[in-house]
Formats: sequence, C-alpha cells, structure tokens
Amino acid sequence: MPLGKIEEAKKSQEQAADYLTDDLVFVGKKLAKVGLEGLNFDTCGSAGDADFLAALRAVEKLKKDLPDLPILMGGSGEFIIGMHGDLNYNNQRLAGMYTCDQAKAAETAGADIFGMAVNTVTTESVPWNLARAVTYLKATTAAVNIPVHANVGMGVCGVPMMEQPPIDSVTRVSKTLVQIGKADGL
Amino acid sequence: MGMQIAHIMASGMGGIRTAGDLVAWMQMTRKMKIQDAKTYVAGKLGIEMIDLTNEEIMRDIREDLKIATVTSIAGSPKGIRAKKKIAELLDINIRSVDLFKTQFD
Repeated sequence: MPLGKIEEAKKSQEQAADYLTDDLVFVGKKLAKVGLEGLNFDTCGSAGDADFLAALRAVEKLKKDLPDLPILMGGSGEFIIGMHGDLNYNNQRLAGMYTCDQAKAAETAGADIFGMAVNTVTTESVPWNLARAVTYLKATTAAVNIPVHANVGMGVCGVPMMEQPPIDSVTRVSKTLVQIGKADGL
Repeated sequence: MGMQIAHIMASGMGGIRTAGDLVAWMQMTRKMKIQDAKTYVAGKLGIEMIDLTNEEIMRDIREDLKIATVTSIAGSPKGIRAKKKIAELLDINIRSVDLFKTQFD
C-alpha cells in the first residue's frame, strides 16, 4: 500500500482474510473435538474490515457444522477501520461500521453473544468516556436479540487506559454499564 | 487482579458462589438476554429472581441439587460431575459433559 499499489494491497487483504477464516475454523473444530464448551473470538476487526469479515465467516462456518457450540464474537472498537474499504457482509459495508451494526452482523453470522468494545479516549475524563460507552451500549443492546456484553479491559468502554486502573473508576464504569447501559454481561 | 475484583464486587453475580454460572450458561446456549436468563434460572430453581445473587440461599440450593459450591463438600459432585447435573437442571447441552458421557460407556 505505501507504494501506491492499492488494488494489490486489497487483494492481499482478501487473501489474508480467507486464510484467517480457515485458521479460525480449523482451531475451532479441533477444540470442539475435545469437548469445547464455548469459543470467544476476541478483538475482531483490530486489523480492519478484512479481519472482521474473516471472523464473521468463521462464525458462520462453525455454527453450520457445530450448531451447539456457543460462540462469543467481540469487536475491537466502536468503529471498524477501513483498511480495505470495499468489503461487505450481508450487503452492509464493514468499513466504518459502528457497534449497533457490528452486533447485527455478528447476530446474522450466528454468534451467541456479541462483545462490544468502545476505545477509551485518553485525553478525556472518565465521565466523558463512560457517557460515550453507555450511549453506544444502550443503542447496541436495543438493536439485537442476542446478549451484548461490554468489554471492560484496560482502556475499553470507559475503563481508564492504565495497567492498574483505579478501583473507584472501574466500579463506577462497571455499575453504570450494567444499570444504565443495560449490558447483558461484562 | 485489581480490575477484575473491582468488576466482580461492583456488578458480578457471583459465579458458582450464587447463580452467576447458571445465568451465563443460558446466555451461551440459548442466546438469552440477561433478564430472560435470570427468569429462566429462577424458575428452574423455584426461587425469586432477587435471590439468585443471595449467597445464603444459593449455597443451600446448590448443596441440595449437587451442582457444586465454591468450597467443595466431601463426597458431593464437583467439576464435570456437577456440570452434568447443571446441564440436566437447566435442560441444556454442555459439550464437555456430552463428551464425558460418551467416554463412560
């Protein structure tokens, strides 16, 4: 892509997505044979729209072959980065997709739970970030019929970006996401 | 562990200390949202929804139903044997239990 070979770069991403889908399905099926109780695809889309598409396709394939395998599909941010830009799922463009539509895509693919991630903006306060996360969460839980869990690691969904986030911040975030945001889990 | 404990104390249901694991199973296996999952589990246990997180009540229930307690009881099922009973109680399939059963025959 730095050389300006946009089409070639897009093709390489599409190919990488195919490989990723194959890998996710391969690992999922192997684990299923040894009694896997549930699978968590975490941080989907961290490398952009092709990454998210690969996870959606993997969920689809695994649920087709193993309908009794619970799958949790989690996002990596409030917004899918358009590293490719022209990839669609179920006639919806993935690039620029916000959490409501991410959850709908996950539900369509067959995921049992969607994990919502909203990145904490480090230059803003905890209340500012929490209000932003709750806004996304309320809209996302209302948009789908599957449970929505809020991802609450360091720097996600209002939790401050630090190794040991302060307890008073974390407990406020935790309680607010559940009571006001209507999270089905964390 | 600081962050995890803060989350557990602020909004956790309590896991196998109470009925948190049972509610989680219903979300995972039946795609139930939190209220539906709590209602379902409370119905199966024959208790009010508010008691799902009451450790005093759930300790006795878990002991009676043999679905494991946070501190193991001598002679009582734990691990996969307790999980088998959880699957039967909630009328769900737990894949590890299914595999376990096939290896028993």
